Amino acid sequence: MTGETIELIRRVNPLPIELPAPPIEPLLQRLDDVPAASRTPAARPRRRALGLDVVGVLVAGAIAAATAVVAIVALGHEPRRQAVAPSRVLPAAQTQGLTAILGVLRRPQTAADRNPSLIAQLQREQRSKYNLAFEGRPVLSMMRLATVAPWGAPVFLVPFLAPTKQAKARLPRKLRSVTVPTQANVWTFSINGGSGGQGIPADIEGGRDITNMAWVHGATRGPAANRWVMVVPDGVAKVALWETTGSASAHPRHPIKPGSEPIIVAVHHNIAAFIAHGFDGPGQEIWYGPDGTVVKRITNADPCAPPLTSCA
Amino acid sequence: MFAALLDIDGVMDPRSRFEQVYRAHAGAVRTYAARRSDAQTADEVVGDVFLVAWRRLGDLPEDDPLPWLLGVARRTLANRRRGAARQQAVVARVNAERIDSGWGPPERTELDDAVTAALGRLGERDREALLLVAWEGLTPAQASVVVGLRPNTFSTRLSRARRRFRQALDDQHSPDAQRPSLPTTEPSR
Repeated sequence: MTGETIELIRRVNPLPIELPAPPIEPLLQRLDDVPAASRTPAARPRRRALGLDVVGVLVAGAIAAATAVVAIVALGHEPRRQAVAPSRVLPAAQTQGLTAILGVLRRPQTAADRNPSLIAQLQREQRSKYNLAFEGRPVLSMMRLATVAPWGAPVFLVPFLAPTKQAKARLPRKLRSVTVPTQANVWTFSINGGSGGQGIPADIEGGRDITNMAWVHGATRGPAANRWVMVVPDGVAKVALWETTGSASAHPRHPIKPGSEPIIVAVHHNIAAFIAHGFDGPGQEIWYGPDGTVVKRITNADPCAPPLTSCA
Repeated sequence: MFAALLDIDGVMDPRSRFEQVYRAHAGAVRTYAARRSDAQTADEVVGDVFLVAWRRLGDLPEDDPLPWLLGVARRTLANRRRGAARQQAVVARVNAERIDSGWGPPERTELDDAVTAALGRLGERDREALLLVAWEGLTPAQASVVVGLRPNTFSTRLSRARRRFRQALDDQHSPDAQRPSLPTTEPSR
């Protein structure tokens, strides 16, 4: 009979099958701003010991208050005001400038994007107060595997939130004046191949978010010195790069090496990765769209210097 | 924030565990909410429930988290109803807002209408107890977690709800009413 009653009610179930789960990605982005609880289950309230707990709290509170009063009187200090929690801005809002121009960050995150060794590396680095103060926090829910570089290594894009004032305040005093990013930026990581970036949207759109994989290691020679990763905004399918003279100020009218041939690189998911022996960085760039049309011309010294004669 | 994303001990990290729980139970939570509200509210409830789950991951039962999650969904829905001052009976809502998903029962008999009406006449607690078992497919022990009762207390409530439901169903079919073919009446306890 019990089963019959339940079966009768089951028949009028307006949704007799289970709906699919909503996509998890929007939720994961929200989680980055919500601290998780520890895995240890929260202690259950012990009602029988409540009286003792209350007495303990009162005694501890009285001792703390008395200590504080004695300290104030003896040392002549005012009690330190409780720090006010900074207003929190959701990562999604902070990284809006990046997601607006980098389509690879807008697609859903997959398991391949969450590379364990890269995550472990980022975790190690985040234990350093210096990393936190100079680089900010990575947004792991937005890390993306963008492409595989010609040297065989996957290239990841990882947005970082700008360092907080609190993180910077933990630095030694003499380091607090160091300039750090004030807005979300994106880093490129090539597994076992280096990393670089801190590209803010203006850098990316200005053709300046280009990294030599040797820079991070402090090396100037070796294979990494020939490896380059450039981040470009949506709509760019190919870039042409002319090598810089190495000193725009010394050669204001000739930002590129005389007679240098352009390096042409196809873009995959906002990344142009290439190997260039002896390359010293771009002096001028031309960006092409998917249909081959020029979408942008960039020169870091003179907009009308060759080979961009058309702008004269 | 960062330490929470990864595990330091080599056990499953909180993020992975959260994603595992989400993939296993978000559909059930969404369905639970959709049966008691509209589709948009159901999706919002899923988000709210799993944000709570993330904050209180340590409280989430390892072996069977679904009743715990449904308990959060239940309270979330209750808060929303209170906030919107829309205290509507579940079955009335179901009748008024048939979910236009094509997943509804293929045919609706006179008996189904009688069952729906009988459910509508029950008190909120009785109806909830019955629906948790009948619609969500929970065992009485699981359902007791959802409503925050001891299993024995819930079993008592469920028995009483069954008895009242059968009574409400029988009352609809007084001798002067058109009597659909009812199954045998459950003995009262």
